[in-house]
Amino acid sequence: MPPSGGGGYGLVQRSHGVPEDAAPTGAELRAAIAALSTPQAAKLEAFAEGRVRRLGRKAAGLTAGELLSEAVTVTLAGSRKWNRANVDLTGHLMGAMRSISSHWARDFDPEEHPVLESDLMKTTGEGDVLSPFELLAATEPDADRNLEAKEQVEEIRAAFITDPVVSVILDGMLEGMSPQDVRSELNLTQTEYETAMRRLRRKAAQMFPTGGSDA
Amino acid sequence: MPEKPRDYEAELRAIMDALAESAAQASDEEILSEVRESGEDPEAVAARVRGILSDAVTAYEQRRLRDAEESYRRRVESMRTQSRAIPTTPQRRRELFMIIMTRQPDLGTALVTLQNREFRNLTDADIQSALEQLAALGALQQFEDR
Repeated sequence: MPPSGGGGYGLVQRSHGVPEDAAPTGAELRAAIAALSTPQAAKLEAFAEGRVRRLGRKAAGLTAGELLSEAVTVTLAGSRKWNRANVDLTGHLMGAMRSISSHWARDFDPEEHPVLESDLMKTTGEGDVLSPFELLAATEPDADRNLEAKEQVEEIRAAFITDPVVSVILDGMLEGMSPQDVRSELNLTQTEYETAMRRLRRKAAQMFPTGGSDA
Repeated sequence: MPEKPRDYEAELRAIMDALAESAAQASDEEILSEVRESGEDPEAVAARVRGILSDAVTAYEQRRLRDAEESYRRRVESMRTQSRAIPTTPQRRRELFMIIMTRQPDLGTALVTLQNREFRNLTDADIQSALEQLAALGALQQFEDR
């Protein structure tokens, strides 16, 4: 039985009677966008780039800007609810981008975007051209993508071979450790950890400017 | 049994996941430093992001407007098409009306009052109105080959 006295049906009501989690109007969203601080806006872009970089080939040419735009679209369409009482616009858009990019990854059709063997060919110091596929089991169905990922992981590791802090952070990531666990394991302060992560993000941005991973 | 190959895709995904999430967790100072280190002006980056987001709002609103206009255009076109099915002279309209009532008497019961069931008392205006209602319902199309 619905509550009496105009208390609503489980939705927090705004003063003018619009449910708190109803899709925002264009004007409401524009106001929230204009109110974004410089660090909030910069963080949104860094996060969008990180998500597109994570998609790698699965991004299929989609950009960080398109991911940001899509997050706005799903918010206005109401297909991604914005709980304004508990989450600010930055947090909401990051959540939307996380979800959208995961959908993009799931919808990716490898048949449409194959890895070309020529992209992976290596020439030795002696001038011999090696096909890396020869080094992997031919029966492995995702051998091409696994090989591409292997090269990228090794490239990242090599870039930090002289940076012991980042190297150990990478080890922790690969073991699935949380940032807190990595920090405590290494006895790093928050600032030291963030500074190391900044080095890692910057290097990744240089190495994979348009999304070099295929994760 | 052969050893399971190392899953480099999962390893790369773990690294990239952690990197993306680290950007979300980074402090304001870290993010601003990172932008400056990349050679960009944080204010310019913020303006670009606000622009992308605002443009997306505008694009969404314009798309909604275009959809509404298209829907309206289709409705008007549909009504015009249906109106074209109504004959231009009272005599032809009455003939069409009688054909409809003969072939589909159910439509007659829905449209005319009990005292007019014999259709004799229907004026030209009554018939015009009835045909317009049938046209609006899309019921005239099936009689276009009359």
